[in-house]
Amino acid sequence: MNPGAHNSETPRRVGLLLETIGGVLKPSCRGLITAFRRAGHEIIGFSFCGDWRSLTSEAGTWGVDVLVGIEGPSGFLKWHPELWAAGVMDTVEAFRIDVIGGLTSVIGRDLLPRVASALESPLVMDCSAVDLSVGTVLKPMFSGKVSAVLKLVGSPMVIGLRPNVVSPVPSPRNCEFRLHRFEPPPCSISVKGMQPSPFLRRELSEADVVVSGGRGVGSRENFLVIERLADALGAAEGASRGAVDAGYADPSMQVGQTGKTVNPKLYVACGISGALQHFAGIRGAGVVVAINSDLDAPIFSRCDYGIVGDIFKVAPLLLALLAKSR
Amino acid sequence: MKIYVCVKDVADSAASIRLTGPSSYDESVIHLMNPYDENALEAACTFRDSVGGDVIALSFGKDRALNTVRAALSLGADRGILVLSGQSQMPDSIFTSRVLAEVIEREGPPGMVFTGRSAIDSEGMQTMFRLAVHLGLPVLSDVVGLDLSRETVHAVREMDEGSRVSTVIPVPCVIGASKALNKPHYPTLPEILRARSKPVRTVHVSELKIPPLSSRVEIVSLSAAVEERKGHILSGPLDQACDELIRILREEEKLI
Repeated sequence: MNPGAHNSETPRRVGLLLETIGGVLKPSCRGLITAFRRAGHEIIGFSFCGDWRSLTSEAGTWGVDVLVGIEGPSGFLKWHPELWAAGVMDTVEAFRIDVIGGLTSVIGRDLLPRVASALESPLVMDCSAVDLSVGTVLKPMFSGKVSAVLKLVGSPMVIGLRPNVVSPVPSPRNCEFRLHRFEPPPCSISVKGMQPSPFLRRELSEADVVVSGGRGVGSRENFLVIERLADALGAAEGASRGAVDAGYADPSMQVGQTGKTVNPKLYVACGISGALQHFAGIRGAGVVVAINSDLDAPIFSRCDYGIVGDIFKVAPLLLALLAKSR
Repeated sequence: MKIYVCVKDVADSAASIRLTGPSSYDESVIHLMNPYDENALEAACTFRDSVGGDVIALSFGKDRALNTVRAALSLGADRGILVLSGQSQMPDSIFTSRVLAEVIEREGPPGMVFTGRSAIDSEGMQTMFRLAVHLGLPVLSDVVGLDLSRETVHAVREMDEGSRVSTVIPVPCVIGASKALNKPHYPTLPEILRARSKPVRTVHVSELKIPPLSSRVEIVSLSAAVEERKGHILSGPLDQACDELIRILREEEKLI
């Protein structure tokens, strides 16, 4: 490990945690690569599973120089918080990495702090921009009310990027593949099994489009209207705290202060009045559309486009229009 | 058994944050216990009620954090420890975790440690992991389900798309509580009255003699986030408004 500080001219070896879905690069990882890609720095992608050949070529498209496939003695390692952290640390050492980057995703929220704390490295999660030349990041604080410039002192530094905040830009190169096998250490945690959720079908925090329902939707059954609209837009389904507290939606769907932060290009709020705590979760949204029957709802003062009307009248009209030109 | 709950005193989520300098904000706004720490506290009290022991609410903050420690006592903690940070602005998680670990080591070995999955002010999302390393304990955060016994914790963590993974962790360990873990109760009047006689010890951070740390995260500057929305209300009959919305999203915004 190199404990020395870097000055601004030092080229860095950047290790990026590349997540996959069904063996293919997660779309939000493209922007992650773009955010860390700078002339002179070497980008080394880490991945735990995938079709190595096609993943290497896809990683190369977005600017990864070397893809490291991290495997255990007998192949892929299924997600395990301690095993994956050990795998990353082993690879960081083997490849003399001095910046570790990843998404502030469900996996990243565990893996990045686990690695940073074991290495006693500085870590900032949920960044919206990265400047490796001076070792600073931009990070929202106080639920997005404040934007902080933070400097990471120490090496290797660890940076978690908020998904979808950086638009991907292709930077094609011939990516080299390296297999890195490591001997897993004994673990304290045993992972028993995965249960799929019956409620949430697309991951909220990384979705490009989100349709959320609020208390105005009225009941759990009525949430079907949110589901239909979400399906028509290829969107993830969300809910306000009011809707979750009223039992209309699962807590895993909650968007806002004590729920999930979303960064979609389009956010559609249906029957959501717009509590301050709800805005905390949608500040990063590109375009916010509000549909609410109450013109005085606070959501209308902080949206891009608003329709004053009953969601049960508006949704069928929108569905018909969306279906028409498909 | 000593069951520790780390609670943080944070600016109310509804407060507007007024910046007063490059790295400071007007702290006269209402401060409360970090919401996720309420879930951690509830889980700690449930654990104590089933296996016995004392719940110790531990906080690192300014003088006013005493209110948050007192709130923890009225919600069921047996005693409190407040480590005063003095005038320093928002210490980073690296330092905070050292402070918490040092206090726990002096106080006595932990039977369990609970805290919230993140703090709503600095949003560091890492103190529990660092604390666990210092204490040599396993850790899991973003926990939405817990079943505790004297020997093991069955902890459920939320994964992508709302799916859940179940894990078994030996006791003691460090748990980061999510909102969905439980429903914190409101303190009753007798609880509030009883809390007044529960002991709170204050320690100044300088007494802990934390050695200088080689890694840190410094605040270079803070600025108020700007949020600009068009605020365009589409008027007229609903079918026209919907037509216009879809046209804008397609042709102008090119989003659908």
